[in-house]
This record gives sequence, C-alpha cells and structure tokens, in this order.
Amino acid sequence: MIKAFFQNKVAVISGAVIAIIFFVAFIAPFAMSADPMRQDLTLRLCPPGGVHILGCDELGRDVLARLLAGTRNSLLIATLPTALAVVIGAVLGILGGFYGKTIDLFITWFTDVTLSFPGMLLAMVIMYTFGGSFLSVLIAIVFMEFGSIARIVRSVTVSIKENEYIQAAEAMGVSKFFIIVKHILPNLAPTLIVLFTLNMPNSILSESSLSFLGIGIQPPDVSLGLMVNQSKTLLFQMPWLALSPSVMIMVLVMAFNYLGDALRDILDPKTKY
Amino acid sequence: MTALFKRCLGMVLVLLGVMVLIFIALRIIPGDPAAVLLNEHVNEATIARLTATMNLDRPLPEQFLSYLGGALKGDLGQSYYMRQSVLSLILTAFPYTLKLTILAAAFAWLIGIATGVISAMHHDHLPDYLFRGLSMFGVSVPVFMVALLLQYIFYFRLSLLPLVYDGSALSMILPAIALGWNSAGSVARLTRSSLMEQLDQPYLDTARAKGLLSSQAVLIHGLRNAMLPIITMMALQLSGMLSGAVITESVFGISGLGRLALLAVQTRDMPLLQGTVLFTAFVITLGNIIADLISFCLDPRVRTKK
Repeated sequence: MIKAFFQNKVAVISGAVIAIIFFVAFIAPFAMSADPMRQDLTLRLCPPGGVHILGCDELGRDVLARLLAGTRNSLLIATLPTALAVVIGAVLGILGGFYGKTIDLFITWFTDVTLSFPGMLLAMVIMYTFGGSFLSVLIAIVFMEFGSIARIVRSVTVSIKENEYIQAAEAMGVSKFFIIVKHILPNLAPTLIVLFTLNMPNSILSESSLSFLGIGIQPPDVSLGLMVNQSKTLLFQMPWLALSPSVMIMVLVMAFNYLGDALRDILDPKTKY
Repeated sequence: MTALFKRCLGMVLVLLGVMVLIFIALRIIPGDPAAVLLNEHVNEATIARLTATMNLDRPLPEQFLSYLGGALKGDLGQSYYMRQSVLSLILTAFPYTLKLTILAAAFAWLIGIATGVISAMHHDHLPDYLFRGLSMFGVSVPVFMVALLLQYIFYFRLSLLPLVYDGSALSMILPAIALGWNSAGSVARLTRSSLMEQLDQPYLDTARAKGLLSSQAVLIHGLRNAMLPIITMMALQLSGMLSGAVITESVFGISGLGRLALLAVQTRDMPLLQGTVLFTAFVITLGNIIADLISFCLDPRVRTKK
C-alpha cells in the first residue's frame, strides 16, 4: 500500500506540497525574525520586495509573517474539526449501519436534518450563539461535515456487514462490540482516511469563508480568510495583499483534493463517493 | 405513488427536526435571553418588554409550540432589529437569491456539462488534461476569491461590468459566475466520470452499428443515461449554492437571503436568523423532492424500483 502510494505521482506531489506547507508554517515562528503582530506605521502598505518579500499591510505588519501565521491557524482549525467530524460520523455511521432498525432510522433522520441546511447558515447559527472565535468555528465545521461522513460510513458498513465472515462471527456468538472493533473498523479504515483527506479542503474553505465574512476568527488573531477580508477594501490599489492568502488557500485546497482523489484510487478503488 | 408519499412524510419529519435544532441552538446561550438578545446595557423595562413580546419567560417547549403554530400559519415572528415581519423580509429578499442561484446554476450546468463531455470523449488526451485541471481549479478556489478576482478583472481592469449589483441584468453576470464557479467544476468532474462509465456500455455499440456517428451516439444516448447522478448532485449543490450565496451577496451587495442572515447575525436578531434558516432548509428540502421527481420521470428503473 505504501509502495502504491509512492508509485502514484499525484499522491506523492500533493502529499509533498502539503507536508512542505505544514513544515514551513509551523517552523516559521522559530526561524523567522519578523513578528506577525508587530506594527510599524512607517512601513504602512509598503510594496512587496526587499526585506518584506510580500509587502506590509495597512498597519505596517509583515505580510509574509502574517501569511505563515494565518496558514498555521487555518490548518489547525481545519485539521481538528475534520478529525472530530470523521470520528463522530464514523460512530454514528457504524451504529446505524450495523444495528439497523430504530437506531438506524433515528441516525438517518438526524443526519438528514443536519444536511438539509446550507452549511454556511448552520455555521451562522453557531456563530450567533457562541460568537466568533476559534472554538465556535471548530464546532461549526464539525456540524457542517459529520452528516455526510455518517451517511457514507453507514452505507459502507452495511456492505461490510453482508460479508460471510461477519455472519460466521455472529453465529459463533462473538459480541457485537468485538465484531465492530475487530472486523468492521479495519475494513472501514481506508474509507475513513479518504474521507478525512477529502473533507480537509471543505474545512479550510469553511473557515476562510466565515472569517472572510467577519463572523469567524476575529482580529487580532490571524487567519487566511480574515487576511483577505482585511485587504478587500484595498483590492484595486494593492491587489497583492488579497492575493497571497487567497493563493495559499487555493494551493492547500487543491493539494488536499488531489491527495484525496489519489488516496481513494489507491485505498478504496471500488467505493464511489 | 407510495414512494412519493413516504418522501413527503420524510420531508415533514426532517423540517420538524430542523426547527427543533435551530430552536435549541439559538437558545442555549446562558443567561437571560432578552439581555443576550439586546447585547447592550439597556434598562430593565426594555428587557421586560422584549421578554413579554417574545414569550421568553415561558418554558421552552411552550415557546416552541407557539413558534411552530405560528410558522404553520406563515407567521415567523417579528424581526427585532428591522421591526418588520420576518416572513415579509424573507419574501422580499428571496427573489434576489433565487435569480442569482438560477443564473449560477445555468452557468454551472452549461460550462460543467460541456467541458465534462469533451473531457470524457477525449479522455487521456490534451483537452481532457486541460479541462480536468480547470475543473480542479474550479472546485478548489474559495467563492470570495473568484468574486474579488472577477471584480478586479472585469470592473477595475477592463471596466466592462458594474462593480456591485445595481438592479440591471448586466450587474448580475459577475455574481452568477462567482457563485456558479465551484459547481461548474464539480459538475464537470461528475459528468466526465459518469459519461466515461457509459462509454463502455454495449448499447452505444448498437447505436453506432445502426449508423449513428460516435459523437451522436454519446450525446443522444450516453449523456441521457449519464445525467441521472448529475441531476441528483445538482439538487445537493443547491445547498452549497445557498451557502455560497451568503458570500457572493455580501461581496456584490445583493440584498438576498444570505445577506439577510448575515445581517441577523451581526445585529443579533434571533427571530430573523431563525426564520431565514428555516426558510432556506424548506427550499432545500423542496429542491431535493423536485430532483427525485425529475429522476423519476427520466429513468424507468427508478420508477419501478421498490
């Protein structure tokens, strides 16, 4: 499987891009002298070049340092809720798919409910209740994603359950919990990995969209969407301010999309989602 | 017919769930709801008046039942900030969002299906690589980036189109493209994979054997069969488009549903937010049922399936 990964060019390249961005974003605070928060009004809106490679924003803060800090925050705030959504979705999907009957009906109904609002409006309800902060963006993303994950995990669980070895285990009197842990979960693992990778771009886009609208991450915290929001009034005079965070979002989302597609081809060629 | 009836029953149950969920989510704020709603230092009398008019002092189940009763009669309450009926605000805003969404969907379908078909028919050749790259770009750029980029190019650089929506048809072009961009990418990807599956089917050989050109066979017979998953996806995309509409409307200054919801969050107008979300969920559920009906008419296999 690892060999198959390294034979797949798309997987290797997109994986490398993600790894490099992660590495640079997280090493930056130790390796760079520029502080993303330090204001220097004499450098207000300095154009790109020289010491400040990507220029400075309207408060004279170094855009490159802010870009890396924003990338770090955006990655953190995308990774945590995606992982959480996969765990919650997996638990609900396995319960529904494996136990069937009333539990299944209830879980299907619940996921249908969460899937019948547009994610952005669901997120806005959460923002209304908890205010714009890291935690509320995190909760909002979990709510936006776990429904569709649960739906897919449920259908895969149902098809795994059809296998004869599961029926044999049941006939032998093996407990349901043991069957789930020993037989269902290992078979689900590839699906879960692919689902995580394919939901990462959604999380990055959701976070940046909420922050762009001004109801996500709040200043003085930094995030990629917030950086675009703060520079949109200067779009025509200083387009590079909005460009660098936008391009970073796009590169990340594209890399995760390509990686997800490639992983699906490698790990899970039969299932389609 | 029973399938359709079951579907409608399911829709009612889901909408009920949506109501309960929004109702709880908007009320789990600790403290006096009226004080939280006003969010300012106001005097006791104002708080008391708001509490009374919105029934905030009654137990939650009772509040919910009276809200449900009102909603069934088409009364979604009064907007606190705008001092108007929530339903009339929604009905004023909805036509803008509808127009935007329909135009965006038309753009997405046209571009998405066309490039998807070309990709599938030339798969693993230059046009396919080109369009696959483009569609990946399509699904990967954030809506706000497309919107700002379009404004920069078509307003600032070329001065061809208006910056924001001013009521004219011309000013609707940029918002529609911005909103449809992501969907065009995913329609193209799905059209390609769905059509590629049909290309191996024996019925296309039959069509060719009876004298149709290869491209005719694909377009007349193959595409029809490949359309089913695309239609189902378009219905699901409706939800994504209404999400994107929040951003598009805010960038281009269109006073549609998304902007109404954003305003409700910014002004802490709970009845307005509640009404807008509920109304949108209703529209999406309706859209799903329409998509079911279309695939019902299009494919005899769905019709006869138990």
